[in-house]
Amino acid sequence: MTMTDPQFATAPGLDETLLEVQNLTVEFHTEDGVVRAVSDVSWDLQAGETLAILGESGSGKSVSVQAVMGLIPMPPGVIAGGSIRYRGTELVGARPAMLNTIRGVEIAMIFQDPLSALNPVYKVGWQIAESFRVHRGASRRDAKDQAIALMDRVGIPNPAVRARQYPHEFSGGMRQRAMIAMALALDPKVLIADEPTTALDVTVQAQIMDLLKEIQADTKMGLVLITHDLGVVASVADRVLMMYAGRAVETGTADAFYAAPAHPYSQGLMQSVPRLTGPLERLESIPGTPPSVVNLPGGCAFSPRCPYTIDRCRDERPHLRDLPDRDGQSACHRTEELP
Amino acid sequence: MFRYFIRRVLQLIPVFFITTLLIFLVIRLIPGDPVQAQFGERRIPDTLRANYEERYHLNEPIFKQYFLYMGDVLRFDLGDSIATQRPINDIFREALPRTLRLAGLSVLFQAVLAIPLGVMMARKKDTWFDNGFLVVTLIMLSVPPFVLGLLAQVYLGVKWDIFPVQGINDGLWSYVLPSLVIATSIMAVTARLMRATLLDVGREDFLRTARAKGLGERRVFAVHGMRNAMIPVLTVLAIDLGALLGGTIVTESVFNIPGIGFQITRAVIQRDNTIITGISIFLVMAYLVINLIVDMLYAWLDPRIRYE
Repeated sequence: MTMTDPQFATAPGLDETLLEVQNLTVEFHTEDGVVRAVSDVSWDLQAGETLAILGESGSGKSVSVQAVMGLIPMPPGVIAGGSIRYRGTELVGARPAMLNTIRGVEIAMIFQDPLSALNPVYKVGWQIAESFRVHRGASRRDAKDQAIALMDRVGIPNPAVRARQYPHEFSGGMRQRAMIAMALALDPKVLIADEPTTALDVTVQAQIMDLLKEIQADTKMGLVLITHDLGVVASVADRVLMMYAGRAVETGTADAFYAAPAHPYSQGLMQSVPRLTGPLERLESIPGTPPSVVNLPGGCAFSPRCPYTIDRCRDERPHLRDLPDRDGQSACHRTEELP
Repeated sequence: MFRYFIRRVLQLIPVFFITTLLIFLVIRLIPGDPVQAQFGERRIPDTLRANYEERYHLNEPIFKQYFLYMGDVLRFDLGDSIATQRPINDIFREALPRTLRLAGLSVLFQAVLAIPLGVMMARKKDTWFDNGFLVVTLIMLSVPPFVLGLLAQVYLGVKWDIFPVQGINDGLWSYVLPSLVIATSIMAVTARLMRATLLDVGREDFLRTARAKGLGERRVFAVHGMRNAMIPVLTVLAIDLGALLGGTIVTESVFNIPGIGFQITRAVIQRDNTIITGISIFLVMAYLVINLIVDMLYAWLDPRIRYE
């Protein structure tokens, strides 16, 4: 139907910024009031790079990438501010027809639960082939052959047979592979993976992450990985964005982040991860519960749970500031004094 | 799919024999003498009674009667009316097309009016359109068909003279008003069901996937949403068609349409047991066949069902 917009016809250079999200604010207007799910969040993504967006449930990490894909239900959702650019083209407020030349084509997405994300009444091969038919106008047979080739590429055994099966006949890991095949159909420059391994068995999780890494190495696409699993991030991410209560609280390279997390929230999370090496100690946990984004405290959202809280934290919201000793930023008033 | 079909067909066989046996027994258990009922208070000559008993196997043990009767039924012969001696097959040939027209039109109205209405309500959820039709459909559900039938006759038939008031002398046109009356309450159910299932399906993750693939909103809705939402609606429509084949006794009498419902009414009043049995057994068969079709539709629409 629609062909790729000519402006995206050339392959991106390795240093090219693919996605640029600036001061994004997303709100939901509910009966309980306005929920600010994402507040003033900025990040960007280069070709070939993996950005991990970390945070617990309700931290706004999924909403921020759904905004990129235009998947936020409006109403009740509304993008209250900021901009999202794909290779210079503004996506906020873009017409649906324009958006449909980018999503699924330039930017693809895979989801947490591959069973519910696949349509139960269509064959897996058909669902993968649909992209070729709709976006490339491919013939039924041609699209099917390409779908089978893709299934083979993502490691689905017997792809010709599997293509004729329905999602409920697949195992969890195979379903996620099928989702990945669907996402890769039109050679996207960006892949957004929203908790791609959360619903899977631990052994399968590693296989899926390996597959994503391998595909990224082949295609040089940018990968945005949404997860709450610090272990998954450590093995694949180049850069990290930590979110808490809808805001970015820490950014930096993954290596530096893991060596020395700067924000008290990141530090607390790291201490709550069990380790196989070192002396056996009681696991730390962060006291308290994450705040409801309906009624956020005035100052730092983490202040009620933070061991380093001073009066200033309760009154004044900290902004992201460059770290003194390394590459990265943290939103904490006491960054310089912290261990 | 084929094995699923065979299994469903095999399941129908015991159901068919058990339900027909029950019908047969229940009608034989009605107190009173069906032969006497044809002669009122008069005494029946012995030769005549023997003639009747011979012809309708009334002198045989009841289970033998059943097997003799089923033998005829399986040869597509439903026997003769005990009241008029007319072959029941002839009565069917006359009454069934009328009821079929009524039922078919009624289901057609539901499909072409109620399904789009439900879709519109879902798309305009919580607007005045949606809320207005939620109230209207509730009213449609609450008004009994004989009230609606009479109102329709008085206004659309007599006062405004749009439709024929009664009878079947105007071809298919005479069936439109009674079909609409029959369809009204079920249209309300269908529209509300369509609305509810669409709203449910609208929350499904696979629609988000379809949007993420860059499909247009129209394709997302028509290809990915509708097929899933149609499953319960089609079931209601098909089961309704089965129920309507039994004739709608009230509407057929209000509009004076000599269909199956009319024949049942007449047979019950005249104690015409053979017609009551014949029609009941025909209805069982129709119902079983339609249910088989529904099951097949189901399996076609939702592949998960085939493997259960």
